Amino acid sequence: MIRFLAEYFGWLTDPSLVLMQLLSGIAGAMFLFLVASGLSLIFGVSRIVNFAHGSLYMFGAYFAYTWIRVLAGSPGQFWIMLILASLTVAVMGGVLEVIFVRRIYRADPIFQLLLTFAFVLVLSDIAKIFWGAEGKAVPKPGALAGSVKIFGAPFPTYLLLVVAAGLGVGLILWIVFYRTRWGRLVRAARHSRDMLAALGSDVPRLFTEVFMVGSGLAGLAGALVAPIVTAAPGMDASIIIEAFVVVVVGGLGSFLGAALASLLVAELKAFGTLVFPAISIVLAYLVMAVVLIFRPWGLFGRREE
Amino acid sequence: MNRTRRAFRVLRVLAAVLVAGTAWTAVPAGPAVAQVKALRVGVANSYTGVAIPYTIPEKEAMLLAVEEINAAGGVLGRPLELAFRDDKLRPDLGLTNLQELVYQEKVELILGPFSSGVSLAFADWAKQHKRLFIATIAATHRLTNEFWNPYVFRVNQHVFFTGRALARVAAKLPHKRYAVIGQDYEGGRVPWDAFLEVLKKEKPGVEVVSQQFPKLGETDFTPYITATLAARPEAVFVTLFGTGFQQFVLQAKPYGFFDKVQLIGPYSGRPDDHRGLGAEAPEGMLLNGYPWSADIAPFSSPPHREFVDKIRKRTGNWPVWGSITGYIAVKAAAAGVTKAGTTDNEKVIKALEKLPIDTPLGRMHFRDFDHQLTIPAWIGWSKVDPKIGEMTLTRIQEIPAEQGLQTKEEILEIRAKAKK
Repeated sequence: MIRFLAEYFGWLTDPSLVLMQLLSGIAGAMFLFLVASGLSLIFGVSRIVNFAHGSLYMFGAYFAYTWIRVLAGSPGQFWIMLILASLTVAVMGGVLEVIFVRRIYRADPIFQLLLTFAFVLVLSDIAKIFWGAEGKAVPKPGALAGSVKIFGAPFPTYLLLVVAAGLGVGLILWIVFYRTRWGRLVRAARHSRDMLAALGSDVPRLFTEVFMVGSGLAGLAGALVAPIVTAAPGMDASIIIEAFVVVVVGGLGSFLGAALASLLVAELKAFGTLVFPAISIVLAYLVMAVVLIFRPWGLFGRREE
Repeated sequence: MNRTRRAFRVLRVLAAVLVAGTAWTAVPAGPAVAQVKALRVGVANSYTGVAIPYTIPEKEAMLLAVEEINAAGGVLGRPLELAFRDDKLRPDLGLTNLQELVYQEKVELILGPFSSGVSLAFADWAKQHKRLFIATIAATHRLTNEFWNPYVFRVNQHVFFTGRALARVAAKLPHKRYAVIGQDYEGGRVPWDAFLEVLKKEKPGVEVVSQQFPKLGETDFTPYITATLAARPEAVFVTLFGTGFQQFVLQAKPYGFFDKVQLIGPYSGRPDDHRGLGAEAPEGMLLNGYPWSADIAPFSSPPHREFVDKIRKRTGNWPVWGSITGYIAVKAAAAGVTKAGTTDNEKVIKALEKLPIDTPLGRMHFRDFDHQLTIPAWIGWSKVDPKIGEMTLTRIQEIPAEQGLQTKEEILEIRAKAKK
């Protein structure tokens, strides 16, 4: 028994390692949260499960590469790039919504899925045509290239920025949704779009705006992740699966759920590599399976009649 | 409609699509333009995720070879034509692709795959269907050892070769505490086994302190990096490749990874792996690779320089290792058919076993007992070359195939053991 504990949990005696894993998990959670919250937002309002959300994230990374080259040399280029990349993806999402997505809000889910899946294929080929097959490196600002010591554990400065950005975005989202008129409209639309339309709101416009905000969040996540993963084909597929795990565990449409499930999935990976390196990769899926069996509407989703 | 039920219907469909996941990026075949029946060659490969930095340039090099062959009158008077398929690194999809290529696209020869995992499935299929394939990148040595049959050919060096070459250099270094990080599949695990087997023989007292195998397609390596560093290894063997390697480097740098440990890698000296990093690539890594710009033979030879220029002209970029394997595979296939005078696969096999294969990197041949091309390996230490803005190797040692590959006796013994 003691030998078992020593073998699998010996790392607990090394507090700086525990801290390092905890921090790297938090940083991973921030990317997941940015992507999953956009996915969840769009679903909550329009009931569209947007398969192409990962593609928008990938385009965020590619636009980061393009904008940083356009802006080369100007002061604060990295920060301006983050804003421009998010906006570009938001506009892209808006165009997709106006031309295609709004035609299928009332269609059968299977058709919605087919359409957004088609986006995945088309967008991945477009990305290859514009940016080529090789990974595109996006430089970090010099000041963020190193690492800082947090209680003796080294932590990349850049990931600190990511954590700050994730928390900042979370806070802004909360203020927007619970403290502004627009947020009230969005929450009302989640409840009943027909009632909202009957009360004279411009519902189609609201849906477009929501789609743009969700896309912009994916774009921001892509632009933020670009400096540590390079913008490359295939990013779309890898993130979308994890994002779906997060929204299923957290509950579709729930922000708090997306935030906590992101943290759960990321920390499971971080500590799973210490305890059971051989099976750490399936832990998140196991959790998803358990949640689906016992609480199919997710940990924080609303069970609707 | 009940919204929750509807949502879960969507999720169910989604799961089904994820599982089925067919035709993510099917690559269309080139147009047929000749009156004579074209000789169709199927390329069963991976054009997804981590494979892309290898296989998209490889496709360009294949098309270049086809153009050259067709400009010179084709093969047996027939124009060559390629049909591409993407297996997404999945053996099951790879086998579906083979069926499609042979029975719908009517291809007469097969090139590929990229993935070691897929290649083992191909070996079995090839034997059953009596169809030869020339593996391009797939590098597990088991393909040409215990899983081999006469229908299997391979261009790339295999990982026992590169692992052994690296282990011999590593054995002379002072490091004793070793760790590994690699993708969780054949191509990530087997090189490590091969490396460790030889290293332990050459250097007693080597200790393995950490083994991390994240899933194929993972992009966040941070927890694996910190867990590995916490085990305090002196050297880390890294079998991540393609975009995976690039991501790993970007995430490992802030932890001072490359100052703390000696990185050793069987793949990462290839531009396919490091070009995405540009001048950010770490220096001092011990790697097997393709230092295409090196000022030594065979890289400085006129045929190779000419090859580099042709690729540059066609794609706007320098070649990668995939360019070499793809180009050689097409040229070898054409040479085999020309020599045999037919596409009858049995006769092409016999022809390929005897033919010298002229490549941009010199003359080579397929060994008759394992059909492994005698392509050498180049081991060196990474160094950024400001002239080309990317990493290359210095203190390069060329390891000839005869020194790196197992002998006929060794291989026959491995196969006999595997039968038992």
